[in-house]
Amino acid sequence: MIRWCSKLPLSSVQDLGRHGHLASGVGTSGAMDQLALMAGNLLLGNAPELAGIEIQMFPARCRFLQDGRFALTGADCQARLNGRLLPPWWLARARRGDVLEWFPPRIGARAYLCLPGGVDVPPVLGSRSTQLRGAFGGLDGRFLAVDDVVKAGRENDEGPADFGVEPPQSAMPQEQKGLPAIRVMPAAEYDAFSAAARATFWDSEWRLSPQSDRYGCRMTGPSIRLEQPLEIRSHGIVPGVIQIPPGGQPIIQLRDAQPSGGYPKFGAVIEADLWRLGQTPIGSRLRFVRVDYDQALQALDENRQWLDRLACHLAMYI
Amino acid sequence: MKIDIQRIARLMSWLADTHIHELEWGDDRTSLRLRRDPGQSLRQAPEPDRSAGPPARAADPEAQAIERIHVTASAVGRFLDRAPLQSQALVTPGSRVEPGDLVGLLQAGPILLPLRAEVAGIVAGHAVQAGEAVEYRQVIMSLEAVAAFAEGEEP
Repeated sequence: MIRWCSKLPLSSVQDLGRHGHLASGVGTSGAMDQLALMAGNLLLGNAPELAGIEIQMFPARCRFLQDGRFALTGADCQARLNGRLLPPWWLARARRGDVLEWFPPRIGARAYLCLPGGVDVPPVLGSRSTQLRGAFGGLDGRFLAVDDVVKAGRENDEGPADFGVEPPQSAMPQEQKGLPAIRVMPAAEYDAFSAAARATFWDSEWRLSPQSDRYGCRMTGPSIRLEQPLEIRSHGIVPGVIQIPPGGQPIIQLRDAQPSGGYPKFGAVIEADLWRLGQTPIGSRLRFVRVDYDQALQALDENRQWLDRLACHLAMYI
Repeated sequence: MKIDIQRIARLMSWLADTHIHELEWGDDRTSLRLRRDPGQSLRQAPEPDRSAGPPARAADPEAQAIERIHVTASAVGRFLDRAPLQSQALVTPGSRVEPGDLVGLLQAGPILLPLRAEVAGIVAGHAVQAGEAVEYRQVIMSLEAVAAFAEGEEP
C-alpha cells in the first residue's frame, strides 16, 4: 500500500487495456509502454497483465504505508528510495514509511511502478485501466492526486529483491540512419497520397511535438499531402493509426485514442512498437520504417519471446 | 533437464557432507560446476601488514587504516560497470563508496544482479573489463577499505 505524494498530474493506474468495447465507443486505454508494465509485474512474480502506476510527469513521489517489494520499469528516472539511487528496471524492497522519488527521465518518457499482486482497484468492463475520457476505471477514473492511497493486491509480500532486468531499449534496440526507428504498416488511404508524399514520409526525420499525450501524438516534419482532397466518413480507428489532417502533419493515435475518426489514414504504427513511441520524449527525433503485415506479426512475436525469456530466467530467482 | 535453484541448493548441501571437492555435471545445453569452499571466507581480504610500519595513508591527518577488499562475482555472468544505456560508469578507480553502494552489475541472461560494496572505501581498480564474462567468485574489483582507527589507537 502506498500514499501518492505528488501534486503533478498525469499519473494513472493502467493495465494492458480494456479490449472489446470499441463498438460501444469505449477506447482501450492501457499502459503506453506495455513491455515495461509486464516486465515490472514479472519481476514481482505477478501475472504480466496486472495493473501498475504509469508516471508521466516528474518529479513524482510516493510513500510506502507498509513493508513490501516494488518494481520500477520504463523510463530511467534516477529513482531514489529514501535518497538512495535505484538502478533502472529494478526490483527493490521498501519499509513502511520509505519515500520513493522519480526525477525527469534521462532515457524514455514514462515510468512504471508495479506492486505485489498488482494495483488493487476494481476492474470495470474487464480492465483496471483508467479511462480518462469516460472518467471510470483505475482510481475513480482520474489521475492520481496527493494523498491517494493505492492498494497492492497482495498485502503480505515475501520474496527476493535487489535485482533487475535488461531494458528492452537495450535488448532490442532499433535504429535507422542514426535515429530511433518506429515500424509502420501502410493503411487504407496510403495510395491516396502522392508518390512524392509517401517517399517523404519514409525518408524524413520526424520530431515528436509538444502536442502529444496519451490520446495521441503529433509529429513535426515535412508536410504530407494528399494527391487530391478526400472526404471520408468517420470510421473506426485504433491505437497506432497514423492520420494525416489537412495541415499535413501526422497524428498518431495512442492508448487513449477515441474509437473513431475521419482523417485519411496513411499507416499504422505496429502494435509491437507502440511501447517505443510511448517512451519517446517530446522533442526527440525518430524515423519511420515500412514493414508489412507478416513482419508486424513477427515483431509482436519477438516482444513475446523477450518476455518469455525474461519469465523463464526470473523463475530461477523468484 | 531443468535445473532450479532449490535443486542446486540441495546438491550443495549434500556436497558439504562429503569429501568431494568439486562436482561437475553437464549435458549439451547446461553445465553445472559446484566447488566446495576450501575453508576460506568468500571475501576474506589479505591481512594488512601492520608490523611493517603504518600504511602510507596513516600519515594523513584522518589517520586511516587500509585494507584491500575484493568485490567478487555472485554468479556466472557478464560484468557491467554501468546499467545498460547509461553513459557513466557506476564507479571508477578513486570513487569513494559506502557500504551497500552499487559498484557494478552482473548480467546473467536478461537478469541484472547487483555488485555492492561491503565496506566503506575507495575503488582501487578493476580486475576485469566491462563486458567480460566472469566465473562465480571471480574477483571483479578491489576496494581500499577506509576505517578510522579506534580512539587511543592513533599512531
